[in-house]
Amino acid sequence: MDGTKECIKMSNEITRRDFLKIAGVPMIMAPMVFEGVKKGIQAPVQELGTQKAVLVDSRRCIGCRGCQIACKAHNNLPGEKTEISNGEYTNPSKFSAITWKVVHFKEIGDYDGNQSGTGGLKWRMLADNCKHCDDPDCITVCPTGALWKRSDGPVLYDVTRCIGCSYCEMACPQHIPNFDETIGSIRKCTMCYDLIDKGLEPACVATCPTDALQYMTKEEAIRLAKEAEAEGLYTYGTHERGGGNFIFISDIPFEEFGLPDDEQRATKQFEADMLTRFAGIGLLGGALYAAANFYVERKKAIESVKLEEDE
Amino acid sequence: MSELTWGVILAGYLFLGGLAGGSYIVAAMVDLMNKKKFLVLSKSGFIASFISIIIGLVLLVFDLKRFREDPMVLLNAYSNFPRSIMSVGTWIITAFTIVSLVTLILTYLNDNTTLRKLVEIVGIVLGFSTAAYTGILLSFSRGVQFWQSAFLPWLFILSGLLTGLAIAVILIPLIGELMPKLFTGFSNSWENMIHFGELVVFTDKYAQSLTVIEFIVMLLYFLTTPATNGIWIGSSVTGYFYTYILLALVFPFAITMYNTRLHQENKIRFMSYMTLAATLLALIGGFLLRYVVLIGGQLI
Repeated sequence: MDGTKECIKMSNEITRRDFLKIAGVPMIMAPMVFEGVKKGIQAPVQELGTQKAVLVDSRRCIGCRGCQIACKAHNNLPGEKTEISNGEYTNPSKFSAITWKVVHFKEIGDYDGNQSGTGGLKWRMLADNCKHCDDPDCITVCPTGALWKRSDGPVLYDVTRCIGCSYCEMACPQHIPNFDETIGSIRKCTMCYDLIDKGLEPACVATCPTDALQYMTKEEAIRLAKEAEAEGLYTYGTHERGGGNFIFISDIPFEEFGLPDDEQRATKQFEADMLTRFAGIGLLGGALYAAANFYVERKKAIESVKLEEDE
Repeated sequence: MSELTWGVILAGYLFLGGLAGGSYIVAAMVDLMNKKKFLVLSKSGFIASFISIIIGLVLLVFDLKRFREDPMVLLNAYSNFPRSIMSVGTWIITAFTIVSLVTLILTYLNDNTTLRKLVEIVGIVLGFSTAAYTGILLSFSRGVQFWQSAFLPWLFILSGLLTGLAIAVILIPLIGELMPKLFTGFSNSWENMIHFGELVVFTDKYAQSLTVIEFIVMLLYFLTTPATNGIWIGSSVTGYFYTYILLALVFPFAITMYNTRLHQENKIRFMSYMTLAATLLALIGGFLLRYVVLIGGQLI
């Protein structure tokens, strides 16, 4: 082995050891720093008694879209171009900065066994919007604190604080907050807090002709949802994402309407779990790398001694 | 969600954040380990790190939809610390940018003191945190299951280290040619091809290890995250995904292996050209990784 190669070999040996030592510091410290940041932060606890809620009963919905129109009219939101996608009647098909209420249309055919053989097509509709979660992802991730939850329920936002990063849109399971170029901020359902403050109902509730949407105390809404569960119906919004101020009842599973899974971890718990796994992978990976490195170096050292003995 | 709420510009920012963190770590390691023979790598790494983070920040700021209307509103991003991970990241990146600049100044002054070493240790932690943050930011998005994996930040860290090493190596001849008087050592290194060859052999060992580890972590991420199933075949980013594997991992790894042979045969000039090709491919591949993950998460 010539001098140059020897120098490189030596430098590599020293470097690897040093590398492990120095690399270990940030590898261990950074997750600890992140973990430390998470500790002591608790999701805000809401007083149930003071909260209002909207109970949405899918079985009573006739798909008139009156709630959609009322939402647009009250909040002065322009219309969107009609799109019939995937053969569905849900229109608009998704939330946007100017569509805060989406009415899901679901063909369920002969879903109910008692009705099979009649040949009749059955429908279920669900008026959907921001759930005004008790532990909302949008509030947790917002870097500017532009979003907050009012003690009586609505999740609101300050248009002057929003910087347009759209992280709330990514964090929300239904991507409900959307940035509106015209006002320079995200926008979404406000639960018509302005009407609530005047002792009125949200616009969508007030316009519903079949009482599929009803405004009441959250306590009452949860009680009715529990009664529905006892009857074998499906409910949504009592505990998903910490629960919320829009509570739903349906006789078909909510996955059929495309509502997100029933993740029940608090947002901070989710983040802490992710960081713990991140740190675990780092420690395990670092240990495996150190072991592999030790094995390779040892093998090299043995071969080197063997070569010297042969010479 | 709009089809692409976070687009190519943000992919560039994620790439440059990892690149800045990675190149800083590489540069600081070389200096802290007192590898005098390869200190030129340390200098180029610090330059690459500072330039990368500045360009990354410019991209980030211009991508924020409110910036053009009211630039000062961006200061709000510091306010929700430590509750919002994005606010935590804003503080980390700000601190890292300052430390990166201070390191560059101390290096330029050739201030071989304990102060610089201390700054470098702080910079390593911040560089690591910056690279990690680009992945953690995505993994905390509960609305996008594609990103919900603890392997993702590690994939970005490893890619940041690999691309950081690549840019630190390739800047040596470039700066040596363009700005020979800026830092002593660059021009000498370029003129002395043998020295550059030794440096390439030295760095190739690490590049090979990092490439293998990144490949494993990449597989772990895409195989263990259910929402990423669509990446393998037929999606709008599938082609970019395989291009990433080829450009960032397969080709550079093959070239570094070939470099060992070229060095033994003393074909230093050819080895330099091969290294140039490997580093460029690795950098393009590193960007493609962010593009695939960011865009794939929104479209698949």
